[in-house]
Amino acid sequence: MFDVHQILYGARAGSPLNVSLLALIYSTVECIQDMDINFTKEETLFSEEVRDFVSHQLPGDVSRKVLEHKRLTKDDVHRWHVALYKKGWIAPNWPESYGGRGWSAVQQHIFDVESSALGAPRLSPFGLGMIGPVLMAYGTEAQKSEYLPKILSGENWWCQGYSEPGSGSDLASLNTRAERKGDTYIVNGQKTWTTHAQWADKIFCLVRTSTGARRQEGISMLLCDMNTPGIEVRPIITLDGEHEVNEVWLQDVEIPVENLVGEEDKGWAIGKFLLSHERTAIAGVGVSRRELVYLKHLASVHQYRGKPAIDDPVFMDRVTELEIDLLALEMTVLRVASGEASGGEPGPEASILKIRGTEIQQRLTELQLEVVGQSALPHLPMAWGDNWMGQTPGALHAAPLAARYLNTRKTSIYGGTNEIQRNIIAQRVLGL
Amino acid sequence: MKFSFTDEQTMFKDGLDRFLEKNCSISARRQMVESKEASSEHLWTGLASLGVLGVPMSESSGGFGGAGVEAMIVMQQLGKHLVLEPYIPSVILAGGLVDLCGTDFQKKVLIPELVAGEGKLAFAHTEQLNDEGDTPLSTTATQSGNKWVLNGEKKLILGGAATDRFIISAKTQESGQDSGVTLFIAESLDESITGKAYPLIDGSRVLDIQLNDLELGPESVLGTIGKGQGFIDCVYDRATAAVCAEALGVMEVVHEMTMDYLRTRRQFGSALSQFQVLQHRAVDMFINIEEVRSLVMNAAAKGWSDDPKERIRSVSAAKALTNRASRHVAQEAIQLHGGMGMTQELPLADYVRRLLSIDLMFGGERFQRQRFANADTQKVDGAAFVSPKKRWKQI
Repeated sequence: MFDVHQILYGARAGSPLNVSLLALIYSTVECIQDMDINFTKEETLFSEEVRDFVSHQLPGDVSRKVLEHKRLTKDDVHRWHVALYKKGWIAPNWPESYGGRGWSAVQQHIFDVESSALGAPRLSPFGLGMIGPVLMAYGTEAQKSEYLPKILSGENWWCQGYSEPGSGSDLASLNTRAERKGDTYIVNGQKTWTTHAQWADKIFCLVRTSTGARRQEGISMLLCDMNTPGIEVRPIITLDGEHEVNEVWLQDVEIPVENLVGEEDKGWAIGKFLLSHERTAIAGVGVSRRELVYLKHLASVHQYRGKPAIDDPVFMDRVTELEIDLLALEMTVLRVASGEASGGEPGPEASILKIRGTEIQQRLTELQLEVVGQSALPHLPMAWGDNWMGQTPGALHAAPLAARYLNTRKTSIYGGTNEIQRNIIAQRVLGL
Repeated sequence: MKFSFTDEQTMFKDGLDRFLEKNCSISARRQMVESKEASSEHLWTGLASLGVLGVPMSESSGGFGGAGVEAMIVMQQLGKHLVLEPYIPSVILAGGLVDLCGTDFQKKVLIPELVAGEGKLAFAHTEQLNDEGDTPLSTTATQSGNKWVLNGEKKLILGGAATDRFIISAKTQESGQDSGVTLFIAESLDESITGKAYPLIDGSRVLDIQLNDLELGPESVLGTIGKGQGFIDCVYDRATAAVCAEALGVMEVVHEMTMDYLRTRRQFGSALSQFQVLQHRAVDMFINIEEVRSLVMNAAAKGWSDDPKERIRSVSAAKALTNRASRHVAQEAIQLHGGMGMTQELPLADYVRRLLSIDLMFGGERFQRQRFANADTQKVDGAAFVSPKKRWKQI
């Protein structure tokens, strides 16, 4: 469908590529190959299999959008989801008995890196990475058979009802209430920062079912259809002007008791189990490796004051600094992953991955912005939507970079702010 | 040394602050951003009636004879209230050029109009977005009889969408030889000028234009033929110093918003302001802002100097630091606001986007540091920098 080298090296027909760029990118590739030395033979073969599959089955228009930072639609992500589903790779980390592949953490990492490099979009994590594993651990048989197959097939999109306006970092203070009346819970309250609620068919919510001595007690997890009367989704426009997150208002929403996950009032442990899942994925190594390649591509094709930034040692020193930090992150991910593989539980040290991973993602957007400078000033959101055929005042590749820089600020806030992650390390790793 | 304002300056600052407090709001600004000109006649004439538009113009031109410090005072207030009006492009850049090199007649026509808020100017100079104005111009002005014919493209004209007149820079030739850069005055209504307006990330509206055989009479030449570059460098330095002062005003508000949020937002049973780790983050923002204030003052005092070395060092230092500090302050403000910091709803979003815009315009951090470092040689990385003082003697 498209040429791997074309994507990796970012060379589009006719775009100038200089020798130093090639040298740099080859050094990136070499670093991948050096890594391969540490991989087993099977893992190396696996990388090849992944590359082969992705380059044939990832829709070209989707990959192009991802690589060029264009806006993705639900359908774009869905098509990739379905391609993986057909291959049987949609939930590789799930146990085989539930339709997964039982991939090792190293295999998952390989998949992340290889597929991201080729422009695979990030799948929605709420079903596959969050509620799926929760249901496998805590769900009833009826819940498992109702929800898990539809998560795998992509028929159901999930969203996450955790944060509330007054309960962000301090999640245990949440006060969306669920009152039990006969066979239903009547739910009232407001959830916020709900990513892609506008696309979702289902929501899992943490709600308060009683007021115990400890705030963590009395929290329950409920599953709910987004079409249930009383649910209203209100868009939150973020400072880049985009619509990803929402407020979800719940007014007298009736949820059948069979949609309770685990025991009533014991939802806090389940909620935390969910958050501890997919710890290594949050580092975003695959995406950052891709963005690093893209940064070097930009730095080689974008002329600034008569030369590309890649010829400026001052600039490249910072790129190199970042590249080394990314290498350190990747090795840390693999250390944590191989620890898990040898039977250890993912520990709170995984917070390191969240902190460093998101910092690196943010620095990459800053450096990309710096390459293009004032070419990123024009704000034309249509230029990164579908069907844009026009010109932009700056280079087209510069058009989405300012918005992306702003958007990426969210990464150090979501999924437990980086301040909370540092608290976790201080308390649970260092014992302070 | 004295780092305080005179009583007169303080009164002026307070008066402007009161006016803007009354006449600016985020909701009004957001409406304005959606309009075609992204500008408000009401606000502009209000600024005129306060005398703000004439502040940095020489008295002989019909202004009030202010300079860098007065411009700093104005810009800090415009930043504080996130004013969209094209003060820098109209007054500092284009107005500055008229004031510096216009004939008496040109000044008499243009400056009083500008000062009264009845005629906006914009400087059509940038031709490509991937340099810092150091690539030779491609727009040409050729002489045909006693007319000048201009052809070329100009981009990212700040304040262009609302302007009445352009000052246009073009490469002129005399007897087949490049004679340097010449400045021209043109009416925005002229049919030989076509163009497109579009918004920047901060909501301001700029313009790209094409000049298609734009014919101008000899009275449209601003200053001496071929001697424009020194003046352009001069007003760009003034504008850069001004935009740093604006950023200072923006950052002060961003910091204050963040302090308010830390004091009000409660998590884990106490106000966020009680967490020492967040206190230190707030302090680091504050330190960054104070450093910017120092260099903004330095640039205000020296950025209008006739000595290019002094000018470059003060202005480039200010802009390099402002870029770094404003990124830090904006990022920390978002982070300390948590999820709310990511929303378009909070006014913080508009302030953050203006800071990003300022970061990207008038030279990035790396460029400004190199320019600062090279100032000793009076050669700014390829672009020969000639003292405008020397050039003035030639006029």
